[in-house]
Amino acid sequence: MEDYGFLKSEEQKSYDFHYLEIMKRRLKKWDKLLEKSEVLPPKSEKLKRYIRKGIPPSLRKECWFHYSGAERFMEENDGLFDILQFRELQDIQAGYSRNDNKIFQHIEVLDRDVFRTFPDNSKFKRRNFPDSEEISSNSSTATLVNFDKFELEGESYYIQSLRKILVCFAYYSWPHPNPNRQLPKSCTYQIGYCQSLNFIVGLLLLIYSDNTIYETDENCRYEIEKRVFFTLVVIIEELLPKEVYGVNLEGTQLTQDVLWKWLFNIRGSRFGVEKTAQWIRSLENRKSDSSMPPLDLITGHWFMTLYIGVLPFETTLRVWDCFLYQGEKVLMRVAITIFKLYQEQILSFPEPIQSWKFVKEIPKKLHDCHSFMNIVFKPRYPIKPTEGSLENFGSQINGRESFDSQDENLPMISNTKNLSIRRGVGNIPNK
Amino acid sequence: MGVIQQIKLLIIGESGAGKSSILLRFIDDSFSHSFITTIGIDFKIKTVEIDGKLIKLQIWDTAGQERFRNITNAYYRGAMGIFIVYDVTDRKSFESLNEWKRNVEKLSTKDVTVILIGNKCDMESDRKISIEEGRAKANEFNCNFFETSSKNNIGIEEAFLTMAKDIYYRTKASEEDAIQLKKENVITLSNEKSTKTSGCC
Repeated sequence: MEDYGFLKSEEQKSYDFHYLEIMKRRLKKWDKLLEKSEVLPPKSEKLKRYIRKGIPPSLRKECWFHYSGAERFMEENDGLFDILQFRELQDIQAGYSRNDNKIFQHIEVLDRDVFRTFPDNSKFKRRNFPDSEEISSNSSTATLVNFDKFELEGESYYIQSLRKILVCFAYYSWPHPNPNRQLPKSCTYQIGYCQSLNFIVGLLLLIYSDNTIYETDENCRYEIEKRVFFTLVVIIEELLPKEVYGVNLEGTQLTQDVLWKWLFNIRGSRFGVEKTAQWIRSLENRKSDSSMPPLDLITGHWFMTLYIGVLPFETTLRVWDCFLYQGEKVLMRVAITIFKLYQEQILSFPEPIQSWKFVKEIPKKLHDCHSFMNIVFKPRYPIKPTEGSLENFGSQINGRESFDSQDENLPMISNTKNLSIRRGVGNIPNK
Repeated sequence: MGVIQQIKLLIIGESGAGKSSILLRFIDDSFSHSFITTIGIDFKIKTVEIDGKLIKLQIWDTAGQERFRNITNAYYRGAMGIFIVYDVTDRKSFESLNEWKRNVEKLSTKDVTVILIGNKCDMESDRKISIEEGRAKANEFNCNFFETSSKNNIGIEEAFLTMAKDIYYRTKASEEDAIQLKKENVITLSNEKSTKTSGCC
């Protein structure tokens, strides 16, 4: 299997041996599916099954770009990226400072992250250090008061594209101090930059550039950057709930509340996670045990990074195959599945803090992506995690059973009550 | 010799100040060229010895970006010591210290031990914050101050040991106070008894 610039662990290599055969079989199936047509087929039940079994690496970038809705979105907003890519330079020339242009402050934060995204990946590795000796984790170049200091010349194209796309997104998702500088498409939310987006853009770059002339051809590079940008926008605007990356991370908190509801609720038991639920409840009840921070801090990370760096790389790609096709509910299923697979072990530790650490570290061991994804979609109870408002969610997940919001064991939903959540399933037809 | 006390510590400060690298240096005595942006939080455990007693340090490291503060607030709960870290080559990280300190005051217990850390002190040519300025800030915060370098292994062990000792002696002293107080209460009670006979009170 392709390594996309990452060093593979021994476990991954030994799994690959077996996985290669599976993917060969899948490729044959896909070839047959596609042989009649020049374009990718419309969404269907059959296609969904195919996608859940893994998109062959050679078809992945086209499938992601198309089925996520990014292709359509890019067509509809032609020209947007071209405007955004010059904004930073324009603003520097116009003499804006970090005090009168908040976007510069977002850029300062993202500049600290470009070398901290995939530092072990050969394509994202830092080549030049500010002084040959200096390799501090985040380096002085991050201080962007003086723009000349952030020097990317000599760094890989991947690093340069990563920064460029994040800067474009900051300009897109934050109001410009000059109201005359409106964009052809206005943005209804405010993000600027949120840590995690660096991983998302990095992953998309690796996949979209795979087997292309990205490194040798400027036009190709530009086209890929544009595709990555629009895929990022579609992920945030159409596939995820609102405000996952906003200034209060409200959407992230909400997804966690919803996850706990799934775990605690009757359907949670149908997913076979009763024991995990019991354990989490016991943590909730042990509020006096002050050394335990909430588990949300682990699972919130899973959702925000869309499992990048959480699961092994190949497993992440398989989750993304489905996520880009179906949206947020896939992320929810993955989380529930992790709790389900390891509930015995989670409960086996004498100290809650050990369980906590176990939950944090266990996803990295999920190398057997094919079996894992198979479990993720079983049982076939539908998950529509954050459709409508949260109140609706309560009655919806219970179907005919009444939703007992008085259940004292349910996590408290505080400031997220009025946050209405966009449907997270993209434009797939309903069953 | 068993562990006699567990101490929960936090490392906070602006994104990129070097919080994760400080933790790695203290735990593994190593420095990595390849740090990844910290999302959410992580913790590590190390046992140290003070006065022949084993103290288990549980150290939490968190994301530095401002918007993560909302979700990491709960993590101050029960912390006995907090390191506030800035980067001596980054003025912005220094300017945000007051805000971090306010957060500490708002979210942690009153008697929490705070230590101010100016990290990356090996990068002399890029230095923006002098050691005097750092000291002055520590005076203002009424806390201990260390300049550190994770890369060159300067000051980190000292900072952690100072923290551990401070908490150890502080909690030990308050335990002794409590015992002392109990004894005094007993005495007072018996005094009361004896004075009652004299018709006083």
